[in-house]
Amino acid sequence: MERLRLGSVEELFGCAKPVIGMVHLWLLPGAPGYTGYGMERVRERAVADARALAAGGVNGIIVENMWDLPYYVGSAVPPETVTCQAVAARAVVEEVDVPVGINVVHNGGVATLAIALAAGAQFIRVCLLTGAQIWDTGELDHGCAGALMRKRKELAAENIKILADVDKVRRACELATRPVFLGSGTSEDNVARFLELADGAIVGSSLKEGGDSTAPVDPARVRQYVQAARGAG
Amino acid sequence: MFRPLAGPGERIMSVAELFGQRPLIGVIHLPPLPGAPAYEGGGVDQVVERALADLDELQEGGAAAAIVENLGDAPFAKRADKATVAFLSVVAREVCRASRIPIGVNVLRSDGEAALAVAAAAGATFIRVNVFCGVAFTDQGMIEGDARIVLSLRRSLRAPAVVLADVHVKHAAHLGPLSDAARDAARNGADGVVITGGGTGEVASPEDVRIAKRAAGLPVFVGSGITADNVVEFAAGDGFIVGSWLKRGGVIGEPVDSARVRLLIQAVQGLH
Repeated sequence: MERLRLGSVEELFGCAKPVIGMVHLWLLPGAPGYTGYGMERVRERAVADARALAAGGVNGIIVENMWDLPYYVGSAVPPETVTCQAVAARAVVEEVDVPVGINVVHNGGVATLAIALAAGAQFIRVCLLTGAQIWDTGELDHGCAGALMRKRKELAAENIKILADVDKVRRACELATRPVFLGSGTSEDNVARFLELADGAIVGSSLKEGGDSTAPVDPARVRQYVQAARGAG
Repeated sequence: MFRPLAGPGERIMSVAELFGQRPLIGVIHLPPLPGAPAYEGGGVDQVVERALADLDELQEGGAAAAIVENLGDAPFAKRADKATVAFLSVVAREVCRASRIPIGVNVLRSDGEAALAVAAAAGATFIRVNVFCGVAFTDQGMIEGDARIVLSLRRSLRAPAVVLADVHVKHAAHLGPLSDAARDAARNGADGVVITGGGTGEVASPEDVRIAKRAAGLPVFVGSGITADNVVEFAAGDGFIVGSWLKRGGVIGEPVDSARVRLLIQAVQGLH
């Protein structure tokens, strides 16, 4: 079981205990707060953050439509999110050598896979693969595993790996036959402790300038975080 | 009449401003994309490569614009698959990046919402919508137009794409006279209309072009069956959207041939 877990991490990221940095896209066209700055700016910002993450030594990157608030849920994710995120993610894939993943909030499921395939991304993060929950936006949502796994098969895209959110790190690590990633709240100070348990960390806000989630990625903070995570070795 | 905007105070270009006089718009037909029954697997790169080769031929031959279309996806969905839409946007983006002429998007069978979303993502400046308003009885079943959705999306995405709307589109049966459909396309906010024959590569009627022009009061494009020989009959046309005839040997599955593009443009320039 242990070997299965760690083997698939190394297969994807080329190392144990990978650090995966977030590229939070600027508000995409169609989001209520979008002011018409155009996709060129969205791409430039995404590429700049991706470059900073790669320079700081992350082992993977996830491109996410973090600021498309308030979020649509699941199959309600509209076509403009799919098209704009695909184009932005493609620019990131072309820019960096580390594996790139896609996350569409909330729980974009099939849309996430569609973007990944178009962009040439190697994995997706799915916030609700199984089970059910109520989002902050109010929707009662359910897992998308049935549709997602069938679509992945139909598209012959089984090379695109799926990271599915669950909660409770310690329990997950005990039970999982798949690698367990920490998906929020890690920092330079605590990542080593978490990685004693978990198989990798996905990190966004604490890599930004001043730890401000709306700021650009700060390569110095990335380096410090990656060093702290490596200390966990 | 009020014209739809791309946002408060943001005007949409006219057809003449975007394309110039009597443009030849060449079609870049894409092979089956993800989500289509005939999709063979594989990434975006080889599709982009083919599209860029067609773009080069069109530009070299002097086409005024090019439109990217998912022709290989037959049988088409009324609303395109998400995987298709995502893929198409990356392809369209690469075509836009490489082009020095305006690039358009048509998402078959008639997904104007997806076409607009692709245009916004890719930087394309026009879209074609096969059923923009009214109802068409097509080979994919009954399709209802969605002018409101397309034009509202254009506004919320702040994507000032010119909308070319088919009237009595090919591969479909239609209720009511062509003149009513053309008038309605204009009333519903189209920037130009497209007239076609019965099917892909089948010639339209020159009389239909005149009828549509009178009724719509908009620029009229001929959207099927144009050749260097018959274009002389379409002097009333304000522009031409040509796919099949520009391919090597006039065969639809072949790459675009710049020599044929040049021939057709010479014929168009001979029109009075």
